[in-house]
Amino acid sequence: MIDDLDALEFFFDKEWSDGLPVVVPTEERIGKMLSGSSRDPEEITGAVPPAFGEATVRAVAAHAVMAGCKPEYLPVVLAGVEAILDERFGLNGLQGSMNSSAPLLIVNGPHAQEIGLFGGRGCFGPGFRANATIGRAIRLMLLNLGGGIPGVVSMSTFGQPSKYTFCIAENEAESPWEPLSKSRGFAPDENVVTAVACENPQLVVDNYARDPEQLFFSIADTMSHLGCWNQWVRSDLVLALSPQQAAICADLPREKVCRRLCALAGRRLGDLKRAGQWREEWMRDLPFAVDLENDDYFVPLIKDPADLHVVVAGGTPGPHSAVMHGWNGGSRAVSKAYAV
Amino acid sequence: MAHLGSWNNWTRSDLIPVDLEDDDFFVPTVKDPTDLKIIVAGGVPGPESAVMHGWSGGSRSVSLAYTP
Repeated sequence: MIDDLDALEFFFDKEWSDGLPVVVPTEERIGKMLSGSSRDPEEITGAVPPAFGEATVRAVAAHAVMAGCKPEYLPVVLAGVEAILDERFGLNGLQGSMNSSAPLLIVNGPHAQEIGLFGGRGCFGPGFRANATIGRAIRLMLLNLGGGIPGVVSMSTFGQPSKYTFCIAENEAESPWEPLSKSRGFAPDENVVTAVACENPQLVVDNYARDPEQLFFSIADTMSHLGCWNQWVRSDLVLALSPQQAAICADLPREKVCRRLCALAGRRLGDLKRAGQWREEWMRDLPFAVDLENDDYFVPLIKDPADLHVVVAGGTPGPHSAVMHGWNGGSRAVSKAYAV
Repeated sequence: MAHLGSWNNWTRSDLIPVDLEDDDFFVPTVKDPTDLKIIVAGGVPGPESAVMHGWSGGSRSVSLAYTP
């Protein structure tokens, strides 16, 4: 007879864990988890690279159990898996990368609120079960079905804390704009998961900005460091504005906020040339022409405004925003609507 | 390290003498070299470093020895 403690150690021994204890996925627990979705347990949502373990609905449910999810979270986990398995997301490369980026899930729609998926104060954690366990279920599948084990497949130099879990709702209630999902073409009442491969949140503190230009200057500066992939290739970038900072620019449509930040964020060509990462061929590959003879030429950080994803998250008061730089050019943000 | 969105913005420039009339005056991000902690971590190959900016002036790093 194996007790739960022995079973926990068994999961550690098998390297079927993220380093934290897991809930043992008994048949009974998996059955209960499956009650959170009407989908056929044997339906295959896809195969997780590079090991290509099949993410059947049952396998997804098992990992949701291991992560500590409630059954009502399962539709989000399923949509998250489908988003990162979309070819555009480029999961195979991300799994083996030396970079530390991880799939961030941003969830819009009424279901997120119903299950307690949080976009308010402290939403990146700790403390919110839906956020913590949905993101963790995704990571456990990347490890167990995809084989993304550190040092074996994942060559990530450091890893990063958000590789444990990386999932928030947008704070739609305190946003001056339409939901991110609507700006990406979905109906406002649809439940949508958007997956973006990105780095840990990097804070932008600005206690004193009273107008958008002051705020944009600070944010654009934080966006524009030479150590991020966005500087060199086309890549996504997520900017989470706190409700307080979003209110400062509430008179502008979100699209104008994006465009202004795209205009401000970037570096002189001469700065890029000073960095070890400089590759002239990358400049030639950009979707716009760069004057390679002019060191004062301004190279924008965001190569296409559609790559900048501005969301509202966090609590009030909160004089911060969070910049999440994208992984290299091998991944694109993917949004998936899901049914409950 | 030197982005202006970190806590090292101009409102904290009282920590070192700054020529407030000279907009080209260079304000260092790290106000005292002992505040910069450089460690080696991560795997090989790994063409990356990781910068972790500090919290506001209300915290100092603390080291304690321990016996296993």
